[in-house]
Amino acid sequence: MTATFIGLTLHAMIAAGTGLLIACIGEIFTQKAGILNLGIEGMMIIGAAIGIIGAVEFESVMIGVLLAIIAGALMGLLHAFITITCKASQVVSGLALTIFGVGLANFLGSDYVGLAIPNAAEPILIPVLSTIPVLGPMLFSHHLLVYLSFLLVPLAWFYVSKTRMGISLRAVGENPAAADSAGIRVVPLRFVYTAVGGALAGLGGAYLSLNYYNTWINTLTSGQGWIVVALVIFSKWSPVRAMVGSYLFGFVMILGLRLQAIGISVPSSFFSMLPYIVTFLVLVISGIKAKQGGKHKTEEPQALGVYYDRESR
Amino acid sequence: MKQYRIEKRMDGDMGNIVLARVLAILLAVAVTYFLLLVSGYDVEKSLKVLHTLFVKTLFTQKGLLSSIARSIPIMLCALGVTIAFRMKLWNIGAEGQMAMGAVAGAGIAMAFPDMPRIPLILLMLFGGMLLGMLVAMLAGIPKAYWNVNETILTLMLNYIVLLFIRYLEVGPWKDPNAGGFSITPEITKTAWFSMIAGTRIHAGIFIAIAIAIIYYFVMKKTKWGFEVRVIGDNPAAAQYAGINVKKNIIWVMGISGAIAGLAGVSEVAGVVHRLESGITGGYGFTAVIIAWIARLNPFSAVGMSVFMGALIYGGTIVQTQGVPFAVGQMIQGIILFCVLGVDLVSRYKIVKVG
Repeated sequence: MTATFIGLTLHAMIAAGTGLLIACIGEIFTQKAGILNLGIEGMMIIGAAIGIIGAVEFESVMIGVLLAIIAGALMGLLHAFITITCKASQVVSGLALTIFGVGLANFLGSDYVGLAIPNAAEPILIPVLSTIPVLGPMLFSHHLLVYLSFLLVPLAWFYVSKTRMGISLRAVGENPAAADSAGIRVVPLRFVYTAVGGALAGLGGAYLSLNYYNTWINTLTSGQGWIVVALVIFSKWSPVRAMVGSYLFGFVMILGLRLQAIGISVPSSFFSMLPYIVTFLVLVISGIKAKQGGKHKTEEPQALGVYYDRESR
Repeated sequence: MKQYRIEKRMDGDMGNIVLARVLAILLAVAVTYFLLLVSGYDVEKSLKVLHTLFVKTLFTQKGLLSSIARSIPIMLCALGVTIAFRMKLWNIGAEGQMAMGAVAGAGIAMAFPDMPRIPLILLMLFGGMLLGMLVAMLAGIPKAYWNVNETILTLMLNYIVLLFIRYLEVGPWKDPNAGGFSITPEITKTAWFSMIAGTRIHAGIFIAIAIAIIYYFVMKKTKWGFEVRVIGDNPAAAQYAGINVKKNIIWVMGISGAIAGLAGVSEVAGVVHRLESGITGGYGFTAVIIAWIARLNPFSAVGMSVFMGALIYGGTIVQTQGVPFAVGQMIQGIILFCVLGVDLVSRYKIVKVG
């Protein structure tokens, strides 16, 4: 295999994994605060649709991206309102978010199917670095949002593990009652981090529609939001592992096309199945490992998915 | 001076619940109206869409019969989901389990075209239940043994099964006489469900109603039903009382999948008469909404299924008026949100203090 082929494959892997990565970092924030949001698929697809609509109507990709972030954050806030204020089940609300999001996105997007994006963003080739064999195409010839996702990972890690705000965040997700006693405002923080998760899911979706697919198609995210839910478990709530996991899935997603490029053909349905099969296996293996490691070793936030009720403290 | 306080309601007051549901649906209609206006439809057109979706489909004879016909697979999926939810197993894989049931139904009908009607249909129903059950158990076993998140597992299986059908359609089951189109052959007429004269309501409706009745009695009257309810309410207590939780997780998931599998067979034998990749039409997700709104009551689930069937049928009508079909799907999500939000009201009461 030539260096060009390897370079292109690695480029495609990172490009395919970036939507997952951005949304995954967002969900890590949300879950660290103790809120389980299974609605990532819904938030991502809304981001993807609003991104396209914004970009087409205002003829600016930037505005599309901004609107997608806002739309995702609003979806996150809706989840926070339903689960925190209205005390509904986090699982069911997340499902509702997905069903609603997919329906609304397909409804809004129906006029935009296959439309070309005016002033579509071009990949940015970083001078000199992008000409390095293999590493050049792999790391230095991407869209702006891919570079941003490179920055997002260390920033998220630093924020969660090294800052005061990060300590509050983790406290809210590990032991809200204790956090509350220590004067940390549990409910507002949970609202904020659910919105942050939504905003990043929206951004991830916008990346998919505006940069990766370059157009709107019905049910564009096709389950990537659910893969993100699995990735969060796989990554053990660590942004760095989330990066590794996202690219692994990116690789699985592009595998079929790359093999076709060198003339190996297997029915395309089987390649399309791969990410879902791998997700399935990864979850089962993570589950078996967690069981063997004993309950205390799990990195899952202790209060994840548990409704915090001040009265029943 | 009298003071008022909001207090948690311990009992589920039926009148209150019904009121909350009606309020939620009205709220959902209002939100939909608002969204239609925001997305550029004028007042007249928006009202017409709502009229088609909720009035034409439920309050005219022709509309209601069509809605009931549409609701059959939804009913079966909803009943399947209900039993899993009763044990707090978040099976959202009815879509894939139904699809696998359809594979079994169509496959058996294609394999034995000369078999007499009754044994053939029975075999198809059995095969559909078996494959639906196996798909669900693929998620149930890891849940039981390693506590793996069944929501994501069942969802991944949805995608896998739907792509598998796509593979059958373009590959081994492709009809050679279809002029190059990638469709599977029509199944033999002996395997078709009979229909109620003058309607599109097929025999699947009786299967669905029978299952609702069986479900009700098993849950209320048998020891096993009691076990399932105890596990759902308090798994730790169930374990302590000597109930085998693992075994129950696997079997309840399996039964849940088997019922969804019947939906697949009934859609093949009653409506489509062949296997096709769009056969599940999102019914598995609609089922989740119904199970929740119906508070896991099988008879309410049957009623809610007709309501959702109406929305989907209405979606196909408004499509001919230039409104995207997805409007129905969107409203389903809105309804669920409204139900979740308004539920708060039914769980609290205002009491006088002093």
